[in-house]
Amino acid sequence: MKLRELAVVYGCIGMACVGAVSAQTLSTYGSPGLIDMPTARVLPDGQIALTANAFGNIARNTLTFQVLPRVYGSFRYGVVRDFSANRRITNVDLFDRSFDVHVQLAFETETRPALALGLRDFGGTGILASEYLVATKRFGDRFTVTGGLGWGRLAQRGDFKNPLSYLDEGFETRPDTGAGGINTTGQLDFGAWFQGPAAIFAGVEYQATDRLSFQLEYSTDAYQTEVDRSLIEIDTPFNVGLNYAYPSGSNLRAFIIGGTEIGFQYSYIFNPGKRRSPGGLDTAPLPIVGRDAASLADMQLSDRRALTAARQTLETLLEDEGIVLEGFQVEGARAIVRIENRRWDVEAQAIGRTARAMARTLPGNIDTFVVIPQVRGVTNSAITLQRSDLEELHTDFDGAWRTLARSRIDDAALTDRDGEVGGLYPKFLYGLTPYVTFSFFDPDEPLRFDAGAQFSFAFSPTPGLTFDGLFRQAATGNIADATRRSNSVIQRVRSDAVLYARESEFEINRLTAEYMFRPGENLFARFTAGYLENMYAGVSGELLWYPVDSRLALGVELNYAKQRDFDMLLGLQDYDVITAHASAYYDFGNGFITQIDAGRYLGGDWGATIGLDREFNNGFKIGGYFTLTDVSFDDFGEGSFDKGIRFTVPVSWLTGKPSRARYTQLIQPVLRDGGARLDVANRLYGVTRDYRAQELSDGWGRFYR
Amino acid sequence: MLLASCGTAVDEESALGQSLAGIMKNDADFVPRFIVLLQQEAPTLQVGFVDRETSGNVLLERQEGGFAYWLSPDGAQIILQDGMLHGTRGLGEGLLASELSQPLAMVRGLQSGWSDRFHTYLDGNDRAITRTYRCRIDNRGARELNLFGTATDTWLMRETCRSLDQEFVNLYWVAPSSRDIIVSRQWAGPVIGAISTRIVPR
Repeated sequence: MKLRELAVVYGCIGMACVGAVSAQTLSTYGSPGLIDMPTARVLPDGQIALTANAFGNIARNTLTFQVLPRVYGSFRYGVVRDFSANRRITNVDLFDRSFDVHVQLAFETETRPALALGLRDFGGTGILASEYLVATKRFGDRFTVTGGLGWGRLAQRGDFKNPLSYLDEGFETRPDTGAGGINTTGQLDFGAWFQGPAAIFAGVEYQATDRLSFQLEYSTDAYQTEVDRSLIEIDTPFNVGLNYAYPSGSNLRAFIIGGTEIGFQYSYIFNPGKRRSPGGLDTAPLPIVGRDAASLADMQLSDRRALTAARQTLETLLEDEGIVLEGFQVEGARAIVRIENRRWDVEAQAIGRTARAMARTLPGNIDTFVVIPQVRGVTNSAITLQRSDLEELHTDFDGAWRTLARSRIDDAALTDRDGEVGGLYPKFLYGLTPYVTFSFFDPDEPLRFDAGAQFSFAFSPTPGLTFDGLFRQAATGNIADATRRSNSVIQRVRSDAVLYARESEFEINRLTAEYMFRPGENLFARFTAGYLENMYAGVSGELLWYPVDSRLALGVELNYAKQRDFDMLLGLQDYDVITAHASAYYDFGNGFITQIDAGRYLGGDWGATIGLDREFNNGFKIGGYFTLTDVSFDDFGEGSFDKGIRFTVPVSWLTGKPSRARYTQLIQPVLRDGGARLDVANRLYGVTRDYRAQELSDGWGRFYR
Repeated sequence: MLLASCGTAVDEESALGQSLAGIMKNDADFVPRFIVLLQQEAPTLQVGFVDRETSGNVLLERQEGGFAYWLSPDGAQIILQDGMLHGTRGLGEGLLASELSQPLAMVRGLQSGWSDRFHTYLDGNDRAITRTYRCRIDNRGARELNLFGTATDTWLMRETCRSLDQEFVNLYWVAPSSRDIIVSRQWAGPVIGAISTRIVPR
């Protein structure tokens, strides 16, 4: 199904088309389907589909992610205009966040259809809540037939007694899930799934050309609520649509629902596992030369002057590669360098470039290279390479993996700081850049933003000790215009975000002293004090146990935090709290990473956060989390508990040029006070993981790049 | 088939893509490594992207045994092994390395027959993927080339390669005495398609 890869980006459709099947049609729910009805199809593994549509008073925006080959999940933000037009309230529109999940139970074969089970809007306000069991089979090259059984919203027409009620009478009637009002949203409606009457829907798709297809369906979604409110007119159970799929991944759709309502839809499907430029546009590395051709080939690194010459040459070559030489020493035939990588998002590539500079420079009698990457002056791992392996394997067609097999990756905790490059400290880095922050899902204005200028600095007098500052001045934006105020019944530890936006002009976002060090083998530690984040000041301590070749890491964190004034300057409010967490991090090794944090949150509530991310090897990451604490669903308010989805896009993924910059966004359906965690910078797992063996090995394909 | 369909993908910003716009244009865009080579009057190779119909010059940065590292003005590299395309850097195409011992021996030996070659590519997910090609090599006989105004005798060797889903044709014009590949047209990969090379006499 390569048709939908980023062909605009690659432009190379000719090859990509080999083995392509047909384009994927997405329903108004933004996932594989006909018009409103689902099919049993899935997207190719790992792909993301972004969909926006509008018909009548209804608009839906959906992100669908194929989490596993057989499982996709969707997050949707929908609007129904004038939903409450008969009520005397200021905002009559309905804004609705919903989550779907779809599991393909069986693949399609020559003789058997694909079979899938799905839940739509399983935890939202329930306006779209429905469940289905669906089968889809292709006949010939052009026809695809779908039939299914629907519950909930998918049983609003032609319904009959729930067949499951023959198994258990409890399935016969569907409880009214919307009865609890907005405060019950977010709770999983287990009680309602597959309950109440069922109905049979069906549809057919005709693939006219590679790009153009037509859909006809018999819909069991009668839009009862919307019709009752005169928001849409439904004259017939039949919906028709067409889909035009561009090879670039864009899809344009037009459809008619209920015989009267014309709608339009745009979607974009892409594969995060494909960089814009697979080989990258970064400049070529220095060729690895034979040791007699190294620039200091005949020198003996026995006296200080020779060492200085070698260090200076290395420093210059590495500087061209965006790598800072922080330490250089020679022990017999071993040369050890400590470096800071400021350019390469794939860390193994930084190691490769460093090794090339060493091969280019060092005398012939040096036959072992040890590269120790450092972050904030703190040693992480030590990569040991044999010079003869580099010479032999850099032109080998399987050179990257053979080099990895012959190298060693050890923990570098106990490295002494001999050979520290002079004049490195104090280090002072600063930058003035623009920034944009977003605020989502305010019913009055679903997308708000602030934009302006930010100044950041990092001053480091000695290795590990850093003074950081981040200051912002908004130039434009409308987050502060929000008129809704927190109605939280528990301590307002996060929900006063609007007040912070409103009361602040020049913002001190962060002003901290931080000390990072290695207390022992495979251990990392951090102390931070000061204005830790937008809303809290205090002190934070963390200890992380992370064996160099381990998939598991364990950490503990203890914080004392005091709420900051809304003006985001130096003042503090009365509220203070001690929060603490024990964390476990596990890299499954197949692209999935999980993190579990258990402990005490900002509101003084106790609970746990479970997160799961799928990280592509190129650094693109998408995932989600939820937090359950001893704050009751009622006290939490809308949404019932804290949850969110998040993604990270490396800048290099977009540009093809190396950069450690990345864009990260967290999307929370609602921001409230239960399960809120302190947002301290440089948590150790994130800072250290890139240079542990698992991540280095994952990136090793770029070692000779 | 592939050559015709694949090749619109060279990025305008790619290192070689820019350099091909003209070596004389603006020194400021050149990487320092290239400027040094320019000053040293390093050996020159004319290269072209066949499908884009563009060409330009690259300079020899390093010769290590049979391997020649040709650098473009903005720092991309084409790596040739005895004239046969071994790797690319910075072109958007991630041809990390190739195993060419069989085709090299046959092409330079002016022999016809079957051979295997291996290409290792970086994919868009930073994995090094090795592809295997089965190739037919044919000696197409003597050809007289007009090389920068000089009539030059060569043998034309043709290599037709297939894998399960890819297919390409490489052409080599080999000097009869030295057995050097002096002119060629070789497939780099699915992203940039074929590259032509021509040694520029000093």
